[in-house]
Amino acid sequence: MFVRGEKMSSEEIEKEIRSIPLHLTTLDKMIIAHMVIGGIISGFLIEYLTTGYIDNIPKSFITTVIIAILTVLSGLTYYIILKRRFEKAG
Amino acid sequence: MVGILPIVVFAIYLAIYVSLPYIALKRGGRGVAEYLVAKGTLGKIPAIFTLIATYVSVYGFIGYAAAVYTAGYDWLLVDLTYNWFILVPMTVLLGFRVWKLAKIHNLITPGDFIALRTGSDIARLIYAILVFWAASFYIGIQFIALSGTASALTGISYHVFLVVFAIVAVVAIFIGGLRGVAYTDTFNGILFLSVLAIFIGFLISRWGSLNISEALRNPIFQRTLPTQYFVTAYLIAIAWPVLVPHLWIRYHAIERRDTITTSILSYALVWAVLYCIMPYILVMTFAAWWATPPKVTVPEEYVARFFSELIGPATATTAFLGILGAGISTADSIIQTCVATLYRDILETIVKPIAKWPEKKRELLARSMTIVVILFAMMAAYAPALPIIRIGVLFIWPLYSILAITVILALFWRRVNKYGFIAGLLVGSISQLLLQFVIWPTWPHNPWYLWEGALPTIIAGIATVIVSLITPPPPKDIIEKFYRE
Repeated sequence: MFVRGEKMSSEEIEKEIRSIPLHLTTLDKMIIAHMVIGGIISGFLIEYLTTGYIDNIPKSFITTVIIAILTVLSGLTYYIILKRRFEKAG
Repeated sequence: MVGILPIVVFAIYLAIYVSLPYIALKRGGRGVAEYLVAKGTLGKIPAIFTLIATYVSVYGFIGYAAAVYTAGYDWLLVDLTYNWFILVPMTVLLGFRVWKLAKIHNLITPGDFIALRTGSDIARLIYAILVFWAASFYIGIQFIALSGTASALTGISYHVFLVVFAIVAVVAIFIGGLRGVAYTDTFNGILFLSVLAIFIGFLISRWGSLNISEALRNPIFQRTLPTQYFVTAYLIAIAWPVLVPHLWIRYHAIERRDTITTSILSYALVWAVLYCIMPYILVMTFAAWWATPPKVTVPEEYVARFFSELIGPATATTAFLGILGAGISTADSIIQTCVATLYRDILETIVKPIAKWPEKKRELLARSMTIVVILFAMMAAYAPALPIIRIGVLFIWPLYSILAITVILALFWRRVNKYGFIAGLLVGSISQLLLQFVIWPTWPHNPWYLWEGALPTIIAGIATVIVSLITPPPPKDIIEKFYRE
């Protein structure tokens, strides 16, 4: 563990560099699946939930809120996955 | 007349703004690598702030609100939807790889990456020229929004502010380089968030006086563009936000891997609030506040005009300094990247003896590129005839997508060679010019309502693949060196 502000040694940087693969991994395949499924869901949102009203509220408002929530969830999920993965890798 | 308070606050702001690059200069030391990319030792806090400030700009806060208010919800929808299923995952997919390659090979600019992967300085040069072209307009739109807002608040001429902001940016970047820009981004980021909280507080306190339910009947909250426009935008523009050069170079400057992990969560939060919720709320309040849109010089004035009328010009002007800071942050990030590109990828590539000059002389030459870059940006911003989002649509986003598709292919497909890469860039960018300005000059520049950059980006990708396949594969030593783990 590092003390705040302490400089890393080059050995520790090397370790971090080695933990990143350049080839496609399982996580990368999950990312591609996320993009495909997310694209389909977003396509439906655009098609059916951006024009017209529900109880005087524009559908675009509902879509904007849904996408904001999905964006935060998406970032949080990857943050947790990556933290755990790097903890394991060291 | 806005009074003396905003002027005093502005002077204090400028004094802090210019002193931070000086602190960066003292802390980081000298040398070309330090000036251009902070020697790859940028700490977590400035790195995250500069990554976010580089992406989030007045384009997000002021530009979107102006575009949605004048042209409708489509202009928000086109950018907000793909954050959760393209931008976040693509940052995970590409961010770490770009960081790793920079660390292994001591890369400074994205052009270094191109030269290493293709083994060709011509590929690097063409890539750099295209980056410079697009980025000049990108800096230009930041200055348009900044100067338009400041002019609306104070009544002082747009061009006066254009010159003031240009001088401030030149001084900061000339002195501090990337580290200085990162420090000012941290300062501006904190200021921006504070001011945003103040504005939200004002909005909540006046919410009862606004007739929001009536405003929501305004047709601007309805989608009008066909679905295929959005689908092609999401599918074809997928990578440029991560591989946009002024963002990319920041991954080269980051010291630690975990900074990227944290930045992914930070991005998601910022995109959700600033690129989804805030523009929508602002446009709702505009529609409730004004029965018909007031007359403005540039649409980007609407946000400033609104807050000026809501809370008074003196308070609004003082508070808006924080918002303008966000714009300056993005502008100086792009200027700094252009400086690095112009020096490293264009000058050093064409005039080979420069690489043998003494370090101090090279550093001075690199710093002086700031002035050249700012002159190009001033030309782009001098007489804006279009809203900034339209400038982006015509001159920036499609070209960045063409650049990104060729880089993605080169990153993940080992068969891409220098001929394929160069062909992709040239065929893509020339077809973009032909499609947008000659064949279909009227927006969306195709008869099928596809996203305006869709066709040239597809053409660039196809050209890269075909030319790579019909020419010899890249030399084995180049591939082995590039992909070594």
